[in-house]
Amino acid sequence: MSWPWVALDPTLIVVAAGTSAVGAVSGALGCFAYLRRQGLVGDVVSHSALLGVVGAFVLTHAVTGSASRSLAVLVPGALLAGTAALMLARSVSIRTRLKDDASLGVMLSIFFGGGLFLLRWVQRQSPPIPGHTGLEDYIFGMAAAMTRADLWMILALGGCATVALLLLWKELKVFTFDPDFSRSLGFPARLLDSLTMALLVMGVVIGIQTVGVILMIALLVTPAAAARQWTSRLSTMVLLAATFGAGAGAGGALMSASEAGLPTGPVVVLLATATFVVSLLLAPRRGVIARAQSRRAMRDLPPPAAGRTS
Amino acid sequence: MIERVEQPALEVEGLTVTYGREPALWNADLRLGQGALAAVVGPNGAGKSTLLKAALGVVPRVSGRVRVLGVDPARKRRLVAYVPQRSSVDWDFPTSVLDVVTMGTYGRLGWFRRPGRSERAAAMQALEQMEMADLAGRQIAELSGGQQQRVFLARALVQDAEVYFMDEPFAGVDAVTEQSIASLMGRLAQHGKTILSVHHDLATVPRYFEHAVLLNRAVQAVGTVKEVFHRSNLDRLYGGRVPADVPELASV
Amino acid sequence: MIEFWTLAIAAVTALACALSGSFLVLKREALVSEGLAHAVLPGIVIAYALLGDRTSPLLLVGAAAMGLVMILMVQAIRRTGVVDSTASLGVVFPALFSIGVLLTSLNLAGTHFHADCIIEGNLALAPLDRFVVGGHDLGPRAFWSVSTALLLVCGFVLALFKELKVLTFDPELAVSLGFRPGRVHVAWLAVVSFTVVASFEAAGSILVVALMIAPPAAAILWVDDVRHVLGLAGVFGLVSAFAGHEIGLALDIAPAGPMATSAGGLFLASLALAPRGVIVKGRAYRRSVAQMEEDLIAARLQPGFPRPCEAVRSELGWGLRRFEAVVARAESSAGLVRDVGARTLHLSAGRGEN
Repeated sequence: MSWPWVALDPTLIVVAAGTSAVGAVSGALGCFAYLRRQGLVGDVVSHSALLGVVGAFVLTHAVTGSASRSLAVLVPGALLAGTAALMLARSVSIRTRLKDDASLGVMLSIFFGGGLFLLRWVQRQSPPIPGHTGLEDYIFGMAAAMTRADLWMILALGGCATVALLLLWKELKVFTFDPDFSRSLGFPARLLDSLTMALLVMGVVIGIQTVGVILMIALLVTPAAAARQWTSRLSTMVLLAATFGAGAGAGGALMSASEAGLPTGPVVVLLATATFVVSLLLAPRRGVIARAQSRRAMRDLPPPAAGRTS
Repeated sequence: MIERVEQPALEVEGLTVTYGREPALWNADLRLGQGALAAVVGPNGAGKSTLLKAALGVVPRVSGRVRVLGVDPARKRRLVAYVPQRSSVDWDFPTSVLDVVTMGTYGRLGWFRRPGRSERAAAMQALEQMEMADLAGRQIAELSGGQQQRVFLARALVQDAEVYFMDEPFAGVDAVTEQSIASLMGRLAQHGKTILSVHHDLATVPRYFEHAVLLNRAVQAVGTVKEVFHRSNLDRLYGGRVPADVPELASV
Repeated sequence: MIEFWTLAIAAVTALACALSGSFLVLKREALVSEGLAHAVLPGIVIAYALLGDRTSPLLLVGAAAMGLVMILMVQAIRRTGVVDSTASLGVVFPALFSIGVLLTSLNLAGTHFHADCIIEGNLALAPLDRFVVGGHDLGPRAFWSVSTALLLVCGFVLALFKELKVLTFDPELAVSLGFRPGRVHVAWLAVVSFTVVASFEAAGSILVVALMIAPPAAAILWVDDVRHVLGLAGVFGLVSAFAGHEIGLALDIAPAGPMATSAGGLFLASLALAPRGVIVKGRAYRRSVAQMEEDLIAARLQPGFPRPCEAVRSELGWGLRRFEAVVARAESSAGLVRDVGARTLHLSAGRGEN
């Protein structure tokens, strides 16, 4: 079966639209984490979200008697767990001698381990809780299962994040570049820090259904790292990262639909990685090739008369 | 207030900061008049940067009161400007020179409002003062150390404040930049602006500054360079390890 | 007997991970374990496809080589100078893991890997897979592979303890002393990578990460010396393995989740109780701030000269309630005296002399 035929399938249109929306939003939001050198924070948030997702599922079952796997229930759970993991890690780094890497790693173990623990326990329940089989999909993602309602949820959350990004652009920019200076201007650091964390968590949460908690990190870091190579303007970088993310998302959805048994998440990640590799090699000025050429050009020039002044 | 007293430009009282068991800054009192040009000197770990950050409210304090022209700067941020250490930011951040300087207007703009034409014009003007106008569109990663420092100073100029807190503005800059920073400070002071600047090079303190704050966790002396910047004070401040090439200073 | 072997495999895995993880945590690159735990997947799948023999020891070596490939890729990207090391790790390991998942799902090699096994391993089945040499059953294969990893780790640590220590705490000193930090580091990461691979089958990626980071992180909150960190991390690793195993049995679920959670639980307990945990440190911090507050009031008074309370309070920038609380404390402990109308403060006569 060839591409245009597949693309006409309405279910596939929903999936492709959803995946590219996920890619766009997480690509854009990932830029700020990337620039703060906190790329791996997203990995911890996404792994931790599993506990939130399964927890929310169990809780709705316990309270209402019927469990729901709709994003409207699971997203708040994921938001809560992701934020909790980050805040705990942050406070461990501040208050003990452990640094970010260890505190984040421990929180990842606790929350993801706990999520698996709970998941296996849910699967052992008899009589089985209806709908529990789909929970497993959050680990590796299941883009094909995306419904129209899920798509609306993704668009709504992504829209909220975009509005927040636009409204607070200036504040986020100065805080990311120079936190001490932004505090001296009277912008409270804790608020802006929580805000950037909240946006990151949002970017993670809308994507985990599609690419899964394990690979989500790639949608945050890889498009940002690719976009950074092409531009030295923050706004262009964010737009480019969103474009790369959207492209990888849509491409991944279409490619995996055209070949039976091809999981969407890994294809999306590898497409994003391909953009990164191309960017790293070919980008003007920062690219490996461009810089090798300019080095060669410098060598061919006669040496400057005076030493370089700083 | 019954009798009218000369309002100090910067008044710091009882400023104390701790990061752990020992205070990083202890009970610092400090008073500078308008147009004062003051260097903060002291050994490593003396709390020099902490003094600036605590006065600006960038780090939390155990105690202390700060007044700029009688007003708490936390309520009126426009009164203060800050030049952080150049090494405290990532110069590979994707932004241009003009953009960074425009950040000086962000405090005045407040939440949500975006900088417009007048803000960018103000930033351009500050860049011209720092002889950097031709580099306005340049990506900040391509600047030299001296140019980076000029960008930071231009950003502070845009803030158009009353008191300028500068953290080692002379660190790692070339001689030309050093001169232009010094003359900028002089001009600001002439216009009645007050400058409190962390400074490492003891030899140049008398040349560039009129006042000195000798700090080693606690303020050991404040006054004009003539009054306080002499060998016995410095030897005490540095624990008798002041290098010999510091000029013998006028004894009082 | 199966029970015994399950526990033995879990215990040896926990020890090997905790010991190798200690140096990662001390060197502040704990998340390298997260990267390795994912990046070795394609190595395992490819080595299996090439060798066609799941029992060959070469499989472990081949897969461990993939971990090393990841390290070298991260270093190469970082060396371009345009992407920092955290981000390059964040780009590389998901890409490698994706390749692994794709290869698995395409079933190119007829691999039997199931998605769950990648994350959680399969400790329950591990004892059934025997290591048979010349007709002699030498016990479960997994036990032998993790034991090899443990021996490698111990051997490396014993032989190159000094180099590892210098490399961990002061890589620049290592260069000036003439060590080749690049080589020692890469060799060490090769050993770590082998440990990850050997543990992978029984423990899965989550447990590898949990056992490499949580026990050393907990140990660091208790002790200072590197040797003690290693020892205590080993103990914590063993305890989490046993506890997780028991919980898994009791609830009839795969033990990986419970083991990871137990390791996390031990960390949280250390966080609360250890001398460098948050409670003890927090209490010490509050005590020293309280002392500073009292000293500050005294520092703003001179013996024999009463000052108005209001002036002192305003100079310290404190609210009324805080000021009252500090004065009340200082009156009983620091010789501070408030006059009858509570308007002025002065130091008692004895205060100025000591």
